[in-house]
Amino acid sequence: MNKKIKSPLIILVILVLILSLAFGCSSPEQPIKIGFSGTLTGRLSELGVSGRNGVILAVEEVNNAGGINGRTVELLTKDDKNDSDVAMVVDRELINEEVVAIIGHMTSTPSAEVAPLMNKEQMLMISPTAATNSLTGLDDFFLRVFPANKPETDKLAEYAFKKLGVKRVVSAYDISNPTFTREWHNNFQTEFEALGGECVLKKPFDTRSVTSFLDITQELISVQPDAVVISASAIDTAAISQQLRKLNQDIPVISSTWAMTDDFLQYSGPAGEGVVFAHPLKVGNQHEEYLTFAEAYTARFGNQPSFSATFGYEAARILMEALASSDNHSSQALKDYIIEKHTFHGLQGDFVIDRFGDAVRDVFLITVREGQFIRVEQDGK
Amino acid sequence: MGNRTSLKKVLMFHFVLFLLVPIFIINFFTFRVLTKHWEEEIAGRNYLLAQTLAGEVEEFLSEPIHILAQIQAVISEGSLVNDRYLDDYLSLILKNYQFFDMIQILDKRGEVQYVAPFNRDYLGTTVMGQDFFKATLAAGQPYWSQTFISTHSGQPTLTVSMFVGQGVVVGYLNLGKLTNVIDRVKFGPGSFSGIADQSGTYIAHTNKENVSQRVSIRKQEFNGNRRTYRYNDQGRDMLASTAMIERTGWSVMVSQPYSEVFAPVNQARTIFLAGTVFAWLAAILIALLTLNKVLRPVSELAQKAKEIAGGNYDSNLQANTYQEFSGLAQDFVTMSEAVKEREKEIKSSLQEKDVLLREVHHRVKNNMQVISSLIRLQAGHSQDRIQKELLEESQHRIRSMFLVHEKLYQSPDLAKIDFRDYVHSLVNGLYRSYGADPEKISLKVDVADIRLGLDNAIPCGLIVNELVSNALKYAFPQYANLFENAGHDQCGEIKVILRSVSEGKIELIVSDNGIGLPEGLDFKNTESLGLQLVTTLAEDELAGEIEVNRAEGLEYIIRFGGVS
Repeated sequence: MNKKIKSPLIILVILVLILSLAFGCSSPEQPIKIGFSGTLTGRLSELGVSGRNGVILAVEEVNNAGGINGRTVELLTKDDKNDSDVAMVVDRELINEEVVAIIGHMTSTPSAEVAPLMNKEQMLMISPTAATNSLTGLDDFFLRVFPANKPETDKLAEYAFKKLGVKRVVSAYDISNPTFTREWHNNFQTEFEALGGECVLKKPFDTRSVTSFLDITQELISVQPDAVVISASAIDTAAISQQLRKLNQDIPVISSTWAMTDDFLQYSGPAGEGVVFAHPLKVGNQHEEYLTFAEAYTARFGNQPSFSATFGYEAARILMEALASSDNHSSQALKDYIIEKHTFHGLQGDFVIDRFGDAVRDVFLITVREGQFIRVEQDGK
Repeated sequence: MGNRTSLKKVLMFHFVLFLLVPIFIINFFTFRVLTKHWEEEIAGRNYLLAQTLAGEVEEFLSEPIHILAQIQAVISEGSLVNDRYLDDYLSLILKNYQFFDMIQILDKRGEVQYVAPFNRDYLGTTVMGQDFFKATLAAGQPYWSQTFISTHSGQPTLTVSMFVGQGVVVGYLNLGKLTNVIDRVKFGPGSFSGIADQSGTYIAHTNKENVSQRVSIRKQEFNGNRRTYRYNDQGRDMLASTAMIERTGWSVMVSQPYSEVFAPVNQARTIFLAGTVFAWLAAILIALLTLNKVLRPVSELAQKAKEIAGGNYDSNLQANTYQEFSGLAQDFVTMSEAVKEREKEIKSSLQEKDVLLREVHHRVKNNMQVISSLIRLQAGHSQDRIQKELLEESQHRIRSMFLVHEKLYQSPDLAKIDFRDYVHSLVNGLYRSYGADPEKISLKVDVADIRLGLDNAIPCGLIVNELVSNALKYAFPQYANLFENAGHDQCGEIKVILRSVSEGKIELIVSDNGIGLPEGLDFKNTESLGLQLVTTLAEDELAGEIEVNRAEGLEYIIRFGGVS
């Protein structure tokens, strides 16, 4: 009997195979998951949104080029709401979702908060923009492509004291991101006072509860300072700048890196003219890689890349380069690759990630002229 | 025979070919046509949905413009010259039209002159750096900005601004209201609808986070030139329809997972597939059952034919579903019964003939025996020794012949006799007749299991009769008279051998260890009737050849063929 029905069975099998081919079926390889954590909502979201967009662009470019060793990269994004507790929660979610590494956080406070968790879980975190010194010089799983803020504050203090002749400053800083702003303020003050200057007024404020920047600004100028130093987001720095202009105060404004985004130019308008920053971003960067990136970014997101987009893109490229280097995607292996490689070719030229995973980059003095960021040395005024 | 194609295989192949292939082809093409139709219908439906949403958004947009135009008119008329009245007016507008979060009136340098809700922080600040202000001045017509974080609410917002006599009136729009438009469309999981501004950033989305987090529409998600298109969203196949809002450059998109959109198609495909497989299985089952029904009676008939050939006429063929096979089975039964009847008749007839033949042989034997007895009586009355011998020889010859008939009618098959038995009977009679002492002249009969027919048995019997008689008479003169030769020691021996030497060839040997033929006697040219008979019978009747071996005693070897 078996023999007798063999022929029809063979035909049946062939037809089923034809049918299967006709309807098609395939099972692609699992994507490599990477996480992104940053502040994506609220007043301070500019840094996070731009950083996330930079990461998205890098991931899309890699996927469009065929992925990493044939596997696509899947980006899982989380909003830390600039809240340390939320940051812990979303990072745990990413770990549970089996990401190979997390790009983030974009601000220092959540970064410093989650660093112990990353070490405990042995989860690699690469921050595009966190500048806190508290994570500098630690052999941990927290890496970054942005330099710590000490060289920046030193440079600004020196510039303010020596070039601008500023002797008395007032300082306003947003304590919704205290790890960064307090540290930044303290570093600046220490260096500025070491040079012979004086910080005559400290004005911490919390952007989440502030009611009037006019009041804050009036308080700042009430002591008749030579300059105002601000460590806050682009919107808030712009708001204080606007109030200063409104009050006809033509005094120098010195800002932290945090505010140096396109939003600052938009929100401050003419009031932003002359504000000074010290930043690792090479303004007017004409590197071919940067121009290609900027063009692609603008085409993709409809606006120019901010520094956080640039550093987000670089962080993602470094992570994906490490992922492509080996099939071992453990955080230790990825970290080892990055530390061993040491020098990376970024959008602004070569930069170094030292043995502690901290970026070493030059810092440039930048100001605003005619609604554009320019290098101070290029400023005719 | 073994190489011939099996009927079952051929029939199965045809079943498969003419049932399964058409089923597959019909299903395949029907499904293709249906899928195309469904795709077009679903694409059209989704595009219509996107257009409907775009229409609602257009409607939504016209109202803020209308309000701004109203403010513009009020300012132009200069009826509200007092600042406080203008502030109140703006606050009233804001209260009545809650899609505005904030309204500002700017001078031509972008400085905020009026703001509602009132906030002294804003007064005197400038929006000169903001894109919407520059664009409104440049365009001279209502301008819808891209999304940005509102300094007022801290949430993504966009503005609609309009040039007024000496400046710009700008309304900060509450995106939540746009989301309400989107939320009216209900989808399954994985689907979404959204509105993206001119830069591609979502200003309304089924997933609110995409707005609050200022997610940008992806290139593959959006293609303004195509009404409905497919794209891949992190491994998921999506179907999107886009409608443009010309006034703002926004796009309204409706996007659904392909699997969800085409769930009915997939269900139909599953049904088609299952139906095809089921139809195939059913077709194969029906083919097997039908073939079994067709071929079983054929096999049964073949088996019955074999049984009939073997003599078993117990024709018990089962009735079949098919009329043709039932008729055939019935005819077969009739035929087997007829054959059975005829065989019975033939057997009966044969039996009769058998009885008759035995009777004939019996009578022939009886008659010949009577003749033999008469000759023997005649011989008993004869005084002449020669005559007496002649009569006795004749009697022996007749006896050798009737013994054949006797053995024939005693034989089971009436056609052949057991020659060994015959030789024993014949030679024993001769011994008795010639008064030979078997202890003196021993007889050795070595006859193979050969059965001879009448044609061969009578010549052979006569030859053996002649040669053994000669041997008894002449070969052992020392025993011619038993009384004279009493006490003689040496034994004579007569051998009769009949054996098969090759296929169809028989060798008959009659020998003795007696004195042999006289010197110079040519057995073929002799006056002896007996030897003449032997030669004639061997060469003419048996068509054989005769050979005499005189080396030791006398040995006649007769070889003949034609025995099966």
